[in-house]
Amino acid sequence: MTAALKRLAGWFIAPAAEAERPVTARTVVASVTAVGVLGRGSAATVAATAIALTAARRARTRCALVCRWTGEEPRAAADGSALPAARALAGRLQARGLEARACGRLVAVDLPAAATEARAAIERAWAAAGEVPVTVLVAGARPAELDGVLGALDRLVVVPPPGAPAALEELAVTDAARVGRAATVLRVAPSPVARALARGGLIVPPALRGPVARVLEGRDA
Amino acid sequence: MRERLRDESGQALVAVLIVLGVVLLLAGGLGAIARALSIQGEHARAADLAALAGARAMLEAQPRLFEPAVIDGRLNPRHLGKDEYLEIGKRAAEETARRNGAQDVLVSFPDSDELAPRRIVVTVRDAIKVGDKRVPGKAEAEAEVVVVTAPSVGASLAGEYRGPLVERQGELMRPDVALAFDRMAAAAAKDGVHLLIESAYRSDAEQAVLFARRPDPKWVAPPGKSLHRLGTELDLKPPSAWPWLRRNAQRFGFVQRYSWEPWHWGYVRSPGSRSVGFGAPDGKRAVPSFVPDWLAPILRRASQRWGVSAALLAAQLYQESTFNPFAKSEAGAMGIAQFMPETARAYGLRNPYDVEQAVMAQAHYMRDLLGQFGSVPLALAAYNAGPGNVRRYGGIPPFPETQSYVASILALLGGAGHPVLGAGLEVRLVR
Repeated sequence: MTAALKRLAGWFIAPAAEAERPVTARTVVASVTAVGVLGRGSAATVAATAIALTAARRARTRCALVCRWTGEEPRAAADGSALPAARALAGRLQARGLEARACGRLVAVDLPAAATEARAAIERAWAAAGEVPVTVLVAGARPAELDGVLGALDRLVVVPPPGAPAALEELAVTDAARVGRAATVLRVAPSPVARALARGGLIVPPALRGPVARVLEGRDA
Repeated sequence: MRERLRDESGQALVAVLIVLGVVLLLAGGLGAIARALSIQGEHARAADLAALAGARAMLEAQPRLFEPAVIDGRLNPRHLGKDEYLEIGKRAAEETARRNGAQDVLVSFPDSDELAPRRIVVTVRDAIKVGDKRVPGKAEAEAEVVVVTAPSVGASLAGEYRGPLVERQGELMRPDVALAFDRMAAAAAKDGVHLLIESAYRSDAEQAVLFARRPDPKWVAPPGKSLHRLGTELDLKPPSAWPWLRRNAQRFGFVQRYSWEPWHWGYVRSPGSRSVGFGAPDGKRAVPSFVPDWLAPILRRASQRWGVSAALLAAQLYQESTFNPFAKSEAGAMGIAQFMPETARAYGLRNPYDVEQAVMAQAHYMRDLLGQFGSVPLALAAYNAGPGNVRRYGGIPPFPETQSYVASILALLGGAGHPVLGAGLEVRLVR
């Protein structure tokens, strides 16, 4: 039908009523909103940042929370430049006495060295963060006290050091399974650009987008 | 000259001593303030953890509030009165606060007038020692049970389905799911797409066998963790049908459960662990035990007519009017289903005080809302606050009444053995 015919038909035929579009802001599809990352070094830090940002995008939240346990006492650090939502969440967590700071779309909470204290801090931060996705980075020998909280997460991701042998990966995955959650492997060799993007806390490094999507879906990458 | 020097050095020494004294005093004062802040931080931590523990205990105990007090003429030991329920929350909070070093603890429940209170406030009032003095301290935390409309994949799931099952293509499923599948398969066939069922209902026992064969949670869900135990889930093939399903399945009440499983479709229009409207003709078996006998057949008919769970309709009526056909709210809502005049008109409800008419209109309205929002909590929120508000907020509106309405109905359904999939109750720190 030509445009002229369409216009002519429009004089005689009422246009069909526009169907009401279903609301898709929240679906009943289960989402991955809590992820544990096991690994040390910059590879694990970059992976945790990328996972947190991806989970936030999928959950349609304005920021994400990353709780970091290194086995060392946290050092005081100032906020970086951050979005208002991240700053607000960091402020709420600081008011509870947690070592939180905002950077980009992320709020990082540095956990106390003592594992029981760290566990309490994770529980408090998670409960106070509302619907914001939570990523727990365990960057050190995993203490048994953290197993309970890791078992309550949706996914566990093992980040081996770049170039690690397959046997080490397998050992890490088997060990992670002790907490009762399936673990997947995310192999990351972060470039200086990826590290810089991770520090900014705003953008997922392009090279990591595919691998992170795969591990959030429960597949190795 | 020497004397003068000695005198001056003597004066300097006094000055140095005074400065040192002031510095020491200041350091002592700062140390005391730092200690006080640290103690205040510990109190805040104790209050947070206690509020969380109390709210978690309430979340766990909440379904027992809605269990029948008497079963077959005998007292039901699982049933909890509201006072006992609040006591459970209070005890858990107090014990946790003490374990974390707090002694003077006050626990209160701001919404204790509600059907199922879900908020708890813990105040730690231990004094803080600053130097030799004790100053009154106060750390307060509030936790509440909230509805989560997109539960995490790690959330605990509803119980195994134990009602009647029917067969389609050699696979078992709930009867209402089968009817919905029939309609969907017919529509797909008209478009030249033939839906095949790969897998449907799997009991916990069957899942245990599968898991034993391959005990890796990455590939096989452990028993008790698979949605297939609910009788609402279908694994559909061939892959060429998946695009059609993505475009059309929601019209028939099916949603894709996980973005990474294009074959896995779950029926969400009729939540509950029992098939609705397919029990005995009296309707009693299809509805929870808290429903009065006179209402059960009406619910059964409405449920079958509009394909909405009788348990959901019943829980809603209980929350709306406690089954009082003549209820009238201050806002002007009328009858057992508490229809506002304009909504009643839109659904052709002439007499909102007529139970049969009102329940039919309620089921019709809920069918529409479930179709529109694809989620039980959102449909409930829309029934209470209006669909416009749910759209505006992109979720359950942050109105205390609506939040409480949705949480109470979900808890009521859970307590009656009809937990809602696609909705979860979680504990959050709100203050």
